[in-house]
Amino acid sequence: MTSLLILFLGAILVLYFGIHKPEKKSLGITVLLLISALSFLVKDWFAFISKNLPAWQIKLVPANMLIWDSTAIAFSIVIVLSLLLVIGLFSRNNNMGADLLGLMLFSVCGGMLMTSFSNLIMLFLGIECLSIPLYVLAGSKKSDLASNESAVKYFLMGAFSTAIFLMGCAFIYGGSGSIELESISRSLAMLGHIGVKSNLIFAGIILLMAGMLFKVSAFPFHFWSPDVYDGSPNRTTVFMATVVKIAAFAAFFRLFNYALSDVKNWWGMTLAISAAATILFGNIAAIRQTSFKRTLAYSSVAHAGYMLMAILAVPVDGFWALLVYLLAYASSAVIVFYILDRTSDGKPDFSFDNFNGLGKNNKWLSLLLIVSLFSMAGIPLTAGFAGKYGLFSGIIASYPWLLVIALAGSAISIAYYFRVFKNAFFSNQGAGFKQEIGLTEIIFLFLALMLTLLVGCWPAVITSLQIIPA
Amino acid sequence: MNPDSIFNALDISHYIYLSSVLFCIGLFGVLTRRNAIVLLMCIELMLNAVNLLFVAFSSYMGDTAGQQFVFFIMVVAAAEAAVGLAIIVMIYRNTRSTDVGLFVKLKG
Repeated sequence: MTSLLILFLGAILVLYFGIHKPEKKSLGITVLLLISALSFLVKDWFAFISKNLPAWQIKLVPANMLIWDSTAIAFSIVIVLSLLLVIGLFSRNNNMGADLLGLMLFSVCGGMLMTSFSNLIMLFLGIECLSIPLYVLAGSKKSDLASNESAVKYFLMGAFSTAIFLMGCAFIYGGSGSIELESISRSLAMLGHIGVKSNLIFAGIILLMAGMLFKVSAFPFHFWSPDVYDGSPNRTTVFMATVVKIAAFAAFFRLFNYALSDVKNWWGMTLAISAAATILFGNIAAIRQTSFKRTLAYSSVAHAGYMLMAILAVPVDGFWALLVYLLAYASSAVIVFYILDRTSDGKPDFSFDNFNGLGKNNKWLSLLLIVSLFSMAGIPLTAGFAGKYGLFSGIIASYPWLLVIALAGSAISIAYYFRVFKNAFFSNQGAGFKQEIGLTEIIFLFLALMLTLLVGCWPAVITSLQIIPA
Repeated sequence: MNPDSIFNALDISHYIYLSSVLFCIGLFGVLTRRNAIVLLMCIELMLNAVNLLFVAFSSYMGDTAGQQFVFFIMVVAAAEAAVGLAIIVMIYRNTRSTDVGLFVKLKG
């Protein structure tokens, strides 16, 4: 809980420092804030599993708004960690001033609310607190038409999906008589009693699901995300692909597994079909792209499909699989977007040809590229494999046909990930990569690489933390 | 016939129908219109349908949680509209148009 307060007050402080001294000072403060928030989160985690976390911190008193349990702490750790990686890697080359850093911090506060809500009001506030700064971040290259277009598309689609989500909340409220997750779950357990209107709840769940599928960009509501990812500046795209995705899935997971798990037969099959269609569509569309940034955007749609499988699994298994997968995806996506950003060298051209000759010019960077693309494709010994293994084994009993589709999707994905290797290692033309990489960037790249390899070679490092999420 | 008796004759289902219709008008508008400002208005209409439904349920069940929710929705919708209009102004400066049909730069 302390970490949320630190980040929120810190964001205001960062904006204040931006008035006087741009760049340097606010960047240092942001990194300091994130590291302190991260250490408080880790402290909270160990306090929680040894049951030392004070009760007032676990359940925030006023009207049961937030719950600071293991799910919330674990997802918040991943969120803050990936923001740290994003800022460490992208701040120097993308001149991120105090305004952008402040907006990112506010957005992360919203993300942390989305992991820890126990009331639909808090979920709504979290989504909006995450999204509103993001609309600005997406349009932060004011004179670039692509950035403008992605901002307006993201804004209209975001507001539209929020309205659908809220309509769902209203129906749930009407049907179950409450907006608290616990009470909703209680009234769903006694469907058919007086005061519980199943038709309203059913309509509410469908609308809620549509709204959440919009937020995580899953089929059939994925159409906005490739355009938005493509048009936004790289620093925003990587933020969306990591932080926003983690927060949206944490919220989706908590909402459906904590409040609506008693009526899984109503939404399980729909969600499974959506996951299958997302995996197939994302992967097939990604093959046809000529721009690598757009390929990554479609691949993130496909990854959203895999992550949806975590919501269908048994909650405890699903939680750990989702956590490992999100960590794997975030750490490898950060590296891939960093290399994409540096090879494009400030120009709005993200074709595969940018990678020509990378293998000859920069051995280390191409090694990083190999490991992180292997992780995204789910090759063994990388974190992506550990994540996919967890997700696949979670649904094998209940939805075997979905497993087949997911495996086919992974096979397709190898085609477009390996296309980069063809350019990087077997292409002779192209100047290749000439820019220097700063020391901070090397440290953060190493951190992301270690995460990918450590979780991949030794998944027990995460799963040994296992306790039943409260 | 005095107004009180009319309101007493209204069931909760009337409010549900009314706000569903309002919501669908907004939804239809979002899907068919091309002007960014009109789209924003349609989204506001959808949000107001939600507010109406929340207040109706809240009063019907004698529970205040729905009305609290409505306050948050109104405040956040205002913040969202402020950011959204700023984005639309930014677009207008660059393209002299607010027609979302002209946004064809990003595709594939």
